[in-house]
Amino acid sequence: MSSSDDDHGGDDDQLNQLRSVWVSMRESDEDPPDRGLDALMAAARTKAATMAPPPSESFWTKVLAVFRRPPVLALASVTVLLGGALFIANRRDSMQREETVSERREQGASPAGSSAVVADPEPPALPAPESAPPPPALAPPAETPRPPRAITKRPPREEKELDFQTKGGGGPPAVTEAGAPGGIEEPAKIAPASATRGPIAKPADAAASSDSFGETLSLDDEAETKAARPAKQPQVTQLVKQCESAAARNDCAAVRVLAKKIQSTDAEAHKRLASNAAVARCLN
Amino acid sequence: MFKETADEDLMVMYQKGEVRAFEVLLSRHRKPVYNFILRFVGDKETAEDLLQEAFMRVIKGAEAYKRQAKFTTWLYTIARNLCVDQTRRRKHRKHASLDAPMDSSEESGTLLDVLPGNEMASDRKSVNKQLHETMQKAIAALSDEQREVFLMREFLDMPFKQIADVVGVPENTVKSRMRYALEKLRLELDEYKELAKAAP
Repeated sequence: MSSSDDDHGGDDDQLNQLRSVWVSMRESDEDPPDRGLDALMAAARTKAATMAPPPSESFWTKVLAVFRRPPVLALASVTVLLGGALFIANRRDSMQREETVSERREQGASPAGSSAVVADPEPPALPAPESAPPPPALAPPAETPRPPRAITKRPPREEKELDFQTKGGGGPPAVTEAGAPGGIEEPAKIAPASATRGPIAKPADAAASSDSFGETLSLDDEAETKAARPAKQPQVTQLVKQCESAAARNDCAAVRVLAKKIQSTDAEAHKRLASNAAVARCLN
Repeated sequence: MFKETADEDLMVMYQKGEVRAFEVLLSRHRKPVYNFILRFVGDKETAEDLLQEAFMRVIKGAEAYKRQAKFTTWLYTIARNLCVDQTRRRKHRKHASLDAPMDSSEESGTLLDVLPGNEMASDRKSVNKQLHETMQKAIAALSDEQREVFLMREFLDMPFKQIADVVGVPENTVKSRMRYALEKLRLELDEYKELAKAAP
């Protein structure tokens, strides 16, 4: 390199002689002492440790780190709130639907049952807590319509139960709520009886399942109770109108029948009806 | 393991935490940098301190090192700056220069005047030693700008372009400084011309 084209100082002999001197000087370069070498390497190691990339994290650690970030947390909060709102809205819709269904049932039941009984209003069916005491047993199955298979299978089982009680001798056997002794009969055979006699466990389920006889009964009671009040007034008015028209036609037999019905339903309406001359003539 | 690896690659490896790469760099450049500093400042103890400081700065600045930069340019820039700072401090402390009188008496000559003459060289070895010392004194007598360019060019075989990068001046300025440095050395060592001829 010293003899390259861009070198300066010329190529005269004197300079070449001098160059040979410092080239020989290069050969006698000194080695630096080792003093401070350890400190240097220690500093280099410390720096290397800080510069080294962190060990690669596992997939789940990365995912967890992502979930810990504020935007993700905010998104999760919004999702939970929206989900809760949707859930509540759906629940309200289903409750309204239940009410609508029961109202329809009432409307459907009111014209047919002419002798609807006015009952005290009951609170709407709410899901009862599990710790709450079970409602009292329903009326005997003989008075209410029930599925035919429950009726057909009932007598032989009762006989069996009686046989068992007499033969066992050691006190009454453990009878389940459904009335079957434990371990004697298959649960499938007991099922209809349990549905009939057992208490209504969850009123919320009652509206949904009409298969169970007891539940159906409770629904019908409610329907009758709710239907009686609003249906009473239009029915009496209708009967009064029919009665008056029958009196106008001189159909006194019909007038008497209708008046009897009106009297049994609404005494005030019957008094007003009796003030009608045509009606009074028929009744008298 | 890293013997064939380029300085720049070793530096990148060190950035990734490979201490062995830095060890190789240190073993590769410690000696030339030390001798460059020694010839620049002319004092072994100071040279040792500056060498230590130069590599400490390499360690501290390793994170900021870019692969595109030539490692030796960066290293010698650090070393050169340390040397320049050191000589400036020494000038402020009014250390004795080679051209300055050794003491206050008018009879005393310069350092160059008391250098051993050619008549004292009895054999080749002593001639070489004498020449080296004379050359060292002559180099020390150069200005800082000329000396650094001369040392990098003649002792480290650096191209002018790289010297310009290290010193931070245009390439032509570097060439000009080199020319003046050689001229001055020639004049300083003119009386040793015959001795140089005798040297191997």
